[in-house]
Formats: sequence, C-alpha cells, structure tokens
Amino acid sequence: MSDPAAQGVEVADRRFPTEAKYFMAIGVFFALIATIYLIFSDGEWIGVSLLYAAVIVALVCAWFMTTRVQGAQADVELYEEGEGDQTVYLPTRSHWPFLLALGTVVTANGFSVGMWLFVPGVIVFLYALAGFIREGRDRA
Amino acid sequence: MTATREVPPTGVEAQPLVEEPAAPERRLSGFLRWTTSTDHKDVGLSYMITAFVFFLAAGCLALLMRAELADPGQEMVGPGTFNELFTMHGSIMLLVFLSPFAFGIANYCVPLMIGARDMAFPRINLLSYWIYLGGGLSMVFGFVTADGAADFGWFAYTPLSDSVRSPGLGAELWLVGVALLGISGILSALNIVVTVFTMRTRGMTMFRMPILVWNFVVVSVMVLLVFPVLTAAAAMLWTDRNLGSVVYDATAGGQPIIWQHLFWFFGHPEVYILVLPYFGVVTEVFAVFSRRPVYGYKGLVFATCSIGALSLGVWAHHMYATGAVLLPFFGVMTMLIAVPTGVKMFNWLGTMWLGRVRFSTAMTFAIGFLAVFVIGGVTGVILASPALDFHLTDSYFVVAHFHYVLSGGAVFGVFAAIYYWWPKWFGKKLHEGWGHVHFWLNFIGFNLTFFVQFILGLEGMPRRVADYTEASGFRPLNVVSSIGAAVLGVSVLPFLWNAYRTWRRGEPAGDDPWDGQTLEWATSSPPPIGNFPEGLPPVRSERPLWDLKYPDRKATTGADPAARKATR
Amino acid sequence: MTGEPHERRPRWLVPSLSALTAVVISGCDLGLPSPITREGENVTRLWSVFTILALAIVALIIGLIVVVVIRYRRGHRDDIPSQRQYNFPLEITYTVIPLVIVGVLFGLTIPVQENLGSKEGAADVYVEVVGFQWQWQFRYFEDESYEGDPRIVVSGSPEQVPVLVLPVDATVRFRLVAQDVIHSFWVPEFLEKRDLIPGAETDVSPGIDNVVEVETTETGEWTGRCAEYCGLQHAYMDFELRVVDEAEWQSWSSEAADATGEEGT
Ligand SMILES: [Cu+2]
Ligand SMILES: [Cu+2]
Repeated sequence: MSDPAAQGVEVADRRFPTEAKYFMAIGVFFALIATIYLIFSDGEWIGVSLLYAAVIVALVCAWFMTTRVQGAQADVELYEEGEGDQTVYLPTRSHWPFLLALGTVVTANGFSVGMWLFVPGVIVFLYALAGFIREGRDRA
Repeated sequence: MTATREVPPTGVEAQPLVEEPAAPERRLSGFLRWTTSTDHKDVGLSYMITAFVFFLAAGCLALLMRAELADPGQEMVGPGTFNELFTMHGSIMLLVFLSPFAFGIANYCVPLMIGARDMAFPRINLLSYWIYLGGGLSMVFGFVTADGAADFGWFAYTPLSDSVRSPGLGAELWLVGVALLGISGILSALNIVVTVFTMRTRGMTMFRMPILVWNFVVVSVMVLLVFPVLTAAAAMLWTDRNLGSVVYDATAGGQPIIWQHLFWFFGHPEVYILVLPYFGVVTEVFAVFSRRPVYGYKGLVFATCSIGALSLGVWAHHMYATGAVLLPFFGVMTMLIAVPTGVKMFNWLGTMWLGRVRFSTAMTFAIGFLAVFVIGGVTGVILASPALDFHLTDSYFVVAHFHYVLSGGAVFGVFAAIYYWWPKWFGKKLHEGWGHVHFWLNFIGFNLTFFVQFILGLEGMPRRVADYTEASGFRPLNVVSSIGAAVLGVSVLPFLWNAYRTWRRGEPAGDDPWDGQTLEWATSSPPPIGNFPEGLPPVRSERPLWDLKYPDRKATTGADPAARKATR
Repeated sequence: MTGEPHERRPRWLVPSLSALTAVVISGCDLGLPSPITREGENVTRLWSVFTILALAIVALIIGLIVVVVIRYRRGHRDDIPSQRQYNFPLEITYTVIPLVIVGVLFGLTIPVQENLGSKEGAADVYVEVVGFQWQWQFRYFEDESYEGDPRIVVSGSPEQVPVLVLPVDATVRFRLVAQDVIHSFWVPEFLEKRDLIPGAETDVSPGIDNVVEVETTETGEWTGRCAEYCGLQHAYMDFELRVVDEAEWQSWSSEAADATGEEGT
C-alpha cells in the first residue's frame, strides 16, 4: 500500500513520532478515567493513586519517545533514504545472564528459606552482575 | 564497527549487513545453547518449551481435581491437597505457562516480523528467561516442602494468606515465585517495547507492523504498568508475613481490601496480557489461510489499544460482592470492553469472508478459538452486570467463563501458534492428520468439561470446593465435566506423538510453507543468527512478503477490481 | 460472488429470536434457580434479557463462522480472492451496534442493582451473620444497632449445620461479620451474595457496605454456602435456610429465644 499522502503526513508530523503519540494517548485516557474515578469513588484512594501513577508512567514514556526515539526511528518513516542504526552490538552467547539469574533466584529464595541460601546467592549475584556489566562495557 | 552500505538489487532491498564482531555463526548445541545462547530464537524456544512443560504439569493437577470432583466424598485427595492443587493449577497456568509462552512467541517472532536481527537487549532477554524458570520452579518446589505448596488460591486474598492462616514454606515460596516472575515479565516487556520502537527495518512504520507485533506492544505496555503493582503488593505481603507490618491486617488497623485492589489492578489486565498475544496469533493465521489482508487493520489496532486501555480501569469488577466498590463505574467500563472485542470478532470474520479458507490445523484451532471465545466474551458481559454478578461471582459460572476465555481462547491460540510457526522453528511441518485429531479431541473435551460448569454455577456450586454433597444434585454434571476433562487430557497425546514423529521423520517445510505474508517467512527455516542474510523485501505495507509475491494484488481500500475481473 | 463483505443474518435467526423473546415475557429462569425473594425476581428478569442477547450474539457469530466454513473454503478454487481491506460504513456499524447494546444492558442493570442495594426504613428481622473458619453463627437482634446481647443465637456443630430460620413475606436485614478471613454469604435462591470482610463492621475499613436486605416470598428449605474460598474446610461451610410462615415463626422464635437465654445464664 504505497500511499504517498499517508507517507507525507507521517513525515510532516515527525515532531511527535507514532511511538510518542501512543503513550500520550494512554496518558490522556488514564488522566480522564482517573479523574472520573476520583470524583465518583468517594475516596477510594488505592485505585485513584494507581490510575494517576499510570498517567505519570505513560507521560514519562511519551516524553522519552519524543526526545529520544525520534532520532533512532527517523529513518524508518523515510524508507527511501538511510537505513536506521544497524551498528548495535548483539552478542550471540554469554554465560553471565544465566549466572545473574541464578544469583537472583537463589537470593530471592534465601529471603524465605534462610541465610544458608541467601549468602551464597548474594555472592553469585554480585559476581555475575560484575561480569555482566564488564562484558557489556568491554564489547559495546 | 562499520556498516556496509549496499545498493538494493531490484526486487529485493538488501538489508545493510553488519560485521559481526568475532561472533560465531555456528550454533551451539545442547546445554550450552540453552544456558548461554542469547539469540532471540533460542531464548524464544526455551521460553515456549519450558512453558509447555509447565502447562502439562498444571494440566495434570487439573485432572487430579476433576477426578476428585467426579464423585461426592473424598476419594483421592483430602481438602488440604485439593486446595494446593487448584492454587498451583491457577498460578502455573496464568503466571508460568500462558504469559511466558506468549513471551516466547514474542521473542521468536517479533524481531523476525519487524525485520530486526535480534531483540534490543539479547543478554537481558536470556536473563529474564532464567529468572522466569527460577521463579516457576520456586513456586512448584512448594510441593516438596513439609507443609506442601501454597494453598490460598492464586489470588492469595488476605487475611487468608497471612502468616497465621497460611504458615509454611510453600506459601513463602509462592510469594518468591510471584516476585521473580514479576521481575522477569517486566524485563521481557521492556525488551519487547524497546525492540519494536527502535529496531524496525526500513519502511516498517508502526502502522505497517503485523497485528501480532501491535498486540505485543500493547501487552508489554500493560505489563509495565501493572506488574510493578503486583510485585509491590507481594512485597508488602512478604513484610506482613515476615517483618510484622500490618498493611493488610484488620485486627491491627490495616485493611484486607487493599490487597484486593492492588491484586486486581494487576489481575484484570493480566487476563488481557494473557489473551491479547493469542488474538494476535489468530489474526495472522486467519489472514494467511484465507489469502486475505487483515480486514480493517487500523480498526483492529485501535480496538486492541482500547482493550488494553480500558482493562486498567475495570479491576474492581472482581470485587462487586465485597460491597466496597463503585458499581456503576466498573460496570460500564467492563461492558465497554465488549465493544472493541466485538469489533475484533467482526474483523476476523471479515478477514475470512470472501477468502479462500484453507483448513490447516493452525486455521482450525484459530476458528475453534473464535467459536469458544465468543462464549467467553458474552458471559463476560453478563458477569460485568453487578446485579447478575452478585449471584454468579465465586461460583462455577465464573470458572466456566474464564476457562472459555483462557483455556478455550488462549490455549487454542497457543496451539494455533505451534502448528503455524512449527515449520519456521524447526524446519519441518507437523503432520496435519494428527493435528486434526488433536484439535477435535481438544475441542470436544474442552466444551464437555466447561460448558456444564456454567449450569453448575447457576445452580449454586461455589468455586474452589474440594467436595460437594450428594443432596446438592451437582453430581451428574460434575461427572460430565470430569469425562470431558479426561478427553481433554487425552487430546495432548496425539500432539506429543505428532511432535515426536515430526522430529524423527518430518518432511522439510521450506522457507514459506503457508504462502505467508509477513517477514518471518522471507528467511530460511529456521532462520540463521542475524535472521536475514539474504536481505529483506521492501516494506511498503503490512504484508511485505505478499507484496513481493503478488505485486499486482495489493490490499485495496474500496472494492477490489482485480478480484472482480478474476471471477468473471 | 456478491463482491463486498457484509453481514448476513442466517435465515433461521429471526424466528428463533422471536421464540426467545416469548421466553422472556413468560419469565423463564434459563438455568437460574427460581428466586425466593422479591429482589431475586428482578434479577431473574434481567438475567433472561442478558442471556437471550448473549445467545443471539453467540448464534450470530457461530452462524457467520459456519457460512465462512461452507462458502469460502478454498477447495480447488486456488486463486487469489478480493484483497479489499476496509469498508468504513460497515466497520462503523459493527462498532456502534455493540455500543448501543452495551448502553441498553447497562441501563437495564442500574435499577436492578439499586434495588438490590436499597435498605430503606425498618426491617422486620435483623440478623447478624457471623462467619469464621469454618462455621456460621446467626444472631438475631431487635434493631439495627446490633448492640447488647442478641435475642437468639443459632450455632452449628461439626455434626449439624446451623439453621437460619426466617419468616415469610418479611423484610430481613443481614449484617455480615467475619471473625478471621473473608467468607461470602450465599443462598443461591437469593440470587445474590455478599462477602464477609474482617474489619468491615468497624471504622478501620470505611466504605465497605456489609449489610444486605431481602424480602422473603416463599416458604421452604434451602442450602446456603460459603462462596469465598476461606481455607481448609471451605467446601463444608454450609448452612440451612428455612423460611416459615408467621405461626411457625412465632413459636420458633420464642423457643429459640428461651434456649439462647438459658445458655447465656
Ligand atoms: Cu477482570
Ligand atoms: Cu469459604
């Protein structure tokens, strides 16, 4: 469906990429819902605060998309030129995620099971975290 | 690193290839591949296989429950064990099977469908898989502790789940599992959102993404909004249990109802988190096997977004009977969800309408999905009415309803996905004959099991009961339901045989066995690391591969003149 | 080939719809237990409207699926069909019609749920329903304050479920109190249930309405159940409801009051 008109609209509206508009719409919708709920629910503060928290999350994402994703995605909208950022480093194997998850899981279980699990868990976790970060730093 | 720019050859626009820094193109195998490969396809398969094993386990728990309920009195398990069974059945099916399986599909298909080389954060991807497996196992390990697994139901209402009523390690491990699964889900969702927003190939605008990808965007955003709420609620329950805080303790000034609000603020969207990915799956399947574009694509995207948005404003429809919620607000919000859901159904029908429908196993499961999901949907509207819900809530009517949505809807979607993408995953087609045997056993067993439960609920059978009396008159329908469950259990066997048989001597599938429309069919089966060594077709619509194969049969907004010519 | 996708109602739909409408008017229960309270009668009517609409929608969708399966199967027509993707008037139609249906259903729901929640004036009988793991206790009071000692207390025992005795054609108000975890008070024939939430009767948890009212219309015996999962013996947390005529009520209540008084001293 090569529709030059639609293409034109998207290009003209690049200030707010679709991604940003998406989160803006979520934020505005929840703001509306949260306000209606605030007025009618007679002080049911848990729901009110959760809904407003959702508004904040959505608007922060929208702001981030407006300022950052725009750059990364400019090429996608204009497929005739450029090719997007393809120079991302993508490792194909690493043993750090497994160890980091092992540390996380053992530590979390240690919270409930006991110190004998918690302490080794934390050690594995910290060791793996260091390895994970260093691997990323060295290669990125 | 240098990005090599290539002149696109005619017909196929080559993707600029990137020099892989000392990356081995050779695939790992066995345990090493499982634990260290960050290739999105490997992680995706790990997710799906693990989730499927959990599915079989939770299915066995369900069969035990149905066996116990086939007859009044305690035959096989006492009420204590029964309570563990339904708690773990629900927890595993919802948290350890359905949504991780969907994440598996997302991992495998989303990068392929948007023409990316991998997920945005491959190592985080692998990390979230292993945290998921650890979380799932933590939960299940409850069964081998002295007091057994958690037994407070999958929604763990306080004060039943506090340290007085539910002491024991099983309950603690359940909480640990929930927290870990929450973390894993958040990491996965983040990864999906970032991948979709930053890694799309040239020409792949948001409104050219396949519906499945759209649905994963919506689901991931929902996960990001609600999983933290669950994790926070679980953390507070943990401190209540272990550190003496009294957030949920009514005897010390806390409020048990807080848990319900927090839990359902997660729990209702969770249902859509579970089912939306499979909406996406069947959308792809309907289009491909009807040789049609997705009908009303933009309306469908809008409907998905509305479902996602509305679903965050309806949590308290699970709490009508508490007498503590604003009934009209939640009633109308819940009923409104029926509108975009209805739109989706008509769009699916519109996709097949005028098509050339081919009844492959995947398509059959997708059609079965539509047929049972509509029943789940309309009973949802009934439950949305507070006046009716007062009678129906916490009864078997609800059990039937959400199994029509999740076991009929989502699980049929799971199998549609398996039969549809199996050739891409493993390079071999599953046997269609066995596939149809599987479908019919599954479909019949499913309806037999759950349809009668609507009636049981109406008649007054509460959910989560380990037993019922002879005098209650619930026996005949429970027998029917248990027979259905046995059929449902048996229905997995042809599938397992099919998988084994295909593994041993399946026919090679080729790159594009179904006459696909989206990018994952534009590469080899299974795709190599980096996904598209040959480059990608140009993306000018949401069906790049179709456009490449049938350049003069693009989707039209009005009547299609080419079709008219062809039939005359 | 008709050219465009459009909704086509199967021919059998109209007669079956009118048959179903007849069912509503005659007031069939469609699977619901027949109500034994005034409030329940409204619920039955609402239920039949919802259910018939639901059945009609299911029939429509399944019918359309059947049409697709029969009419648009690929068979040997191995060509490429119409690639038409949008039909805005049709899409608007199938958005607006569900919206209207939902509006109507919501409109019908409101009065019924208000009626279920209304508690005006004085009631004839006041019962405090106390739930605890895994039994019920029914305490009959003289008035709404629920203060002082109850006039009658009915408790169950491991061998015998407690019996809730009520007069017929009377307004009964229940105050629901949980002593440990959440339970739910449900007589299926009331066609409504309400949770017992710990702390609901105190100021600590404001906003929880733990009072329900019913007007009994029929004499007889029924089983009541705990509907909210409450732990080990949840499945066995039943009670019996006995609605009796005026004479029987008088004799029972004076006897029970005497028995309660003796126990108290
Ligand atoms: Cu819900
Ligand atoms: Cu109970």
